[in-house]
Amino acid sequence: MPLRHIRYAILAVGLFLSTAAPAHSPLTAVTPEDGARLTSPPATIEMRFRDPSRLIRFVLVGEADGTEIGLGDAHLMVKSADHSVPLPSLAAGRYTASWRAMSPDGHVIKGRFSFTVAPE
Amino acid sequence: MFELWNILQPLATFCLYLAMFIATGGLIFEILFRRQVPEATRRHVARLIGIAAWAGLVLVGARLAVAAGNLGGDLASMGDPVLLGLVMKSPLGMASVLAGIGFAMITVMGRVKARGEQAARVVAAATVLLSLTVVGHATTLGAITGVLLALHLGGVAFWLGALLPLRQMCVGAGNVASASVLADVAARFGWIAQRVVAVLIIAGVAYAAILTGSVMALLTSAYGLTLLAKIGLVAGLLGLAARNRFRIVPALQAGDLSAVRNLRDSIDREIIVALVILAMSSLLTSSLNLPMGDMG
Repeated sequence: MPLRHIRYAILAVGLFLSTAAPAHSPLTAVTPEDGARLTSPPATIEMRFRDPSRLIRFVLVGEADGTEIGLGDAHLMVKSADHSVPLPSLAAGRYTASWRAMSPDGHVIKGRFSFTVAPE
Repeated sequence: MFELWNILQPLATFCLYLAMFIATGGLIFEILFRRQVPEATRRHVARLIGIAAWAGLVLVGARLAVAAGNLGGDLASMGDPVLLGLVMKSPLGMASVLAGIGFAMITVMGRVKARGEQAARVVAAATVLLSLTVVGHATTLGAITGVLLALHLGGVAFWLGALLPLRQMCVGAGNVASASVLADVAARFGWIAQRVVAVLIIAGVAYAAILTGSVMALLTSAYGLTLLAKIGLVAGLLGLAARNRFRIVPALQAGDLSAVRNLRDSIDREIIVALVILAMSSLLTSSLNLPMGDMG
């Protein structure tokens, strides 16, 4: 095969793979909702998946100082459609949660959402 | 948000698919055409199959490590025994075991000559291809999608596996005698391909329709749009194949030596389109989820 053909093939494949969009996750509901503005800090984060999925990672970061909130790991590695992540008392501010899980068909599913605690 | 895994996961899948189709397609080509092709082509095909099978064994392990890394979200997770254990217990683990067994059989067959070798080739190729039906979207939608996918994959392997051997024959076809052998093989390949492609298209379209659920889902989801782009490229590939079958091969059979160069160029284009289609398939199976009204 001429070198230019190989170059075109590599370029096409590279371009295509570089556009690989992050997967949508089969997460059907989350509480607090993405973008929610709460007047009191939530005691838990509830996640509902379309199918029983194993939650592998769950990280909550306070955006004010970028620190990770300590959550323990009792909620991790559990296979269920419904997951509940207990939270410590959260101060006012905006928080971003990112999570990774394994779906029943073996796919890695992941996502992130944010909420704001703003007492009146 | 950009993540290394959005590249690594489909890339590992793409490389593994490539190894799978070169190895299994090479075996299918060997079974169907070994009495017809020259010794140099037989050696070339055997070498391709051997390299692809060894690469496949390595890539099976690499894909498991990448899947564990993707689960944990960092490079250290690639070697995390807990995450690797989870991956092994998932359908991907079963798929990896099947693919590993199939590739191992192919590497052993390349070294040992024994009775029943032909049957062993069929079993090895089937084992590698079946590994693709036990993981991913096909598993969540019942046995029909699994059967459709198996038919589809068999057709793909037959087609893609013949491209490199046919190309090698084009390179070696410098005189009328070798061009005549090439014409016979290409004509027979085209005759079989016409029937295989019909099965491939029917199985592929039925599979896609069951998976996506509706035409609207095709137009409104990343999965559906990628699938449509793939179908468009497959149509282009069919156009190239039709040109080979109805114009280039008849010219070759009529003794036109310039048709050898045309066939080689056409096969080169088919290889490029096939690589892009494989990349899209890797994305469809490893990164994009089915359109079912998800959030996240």
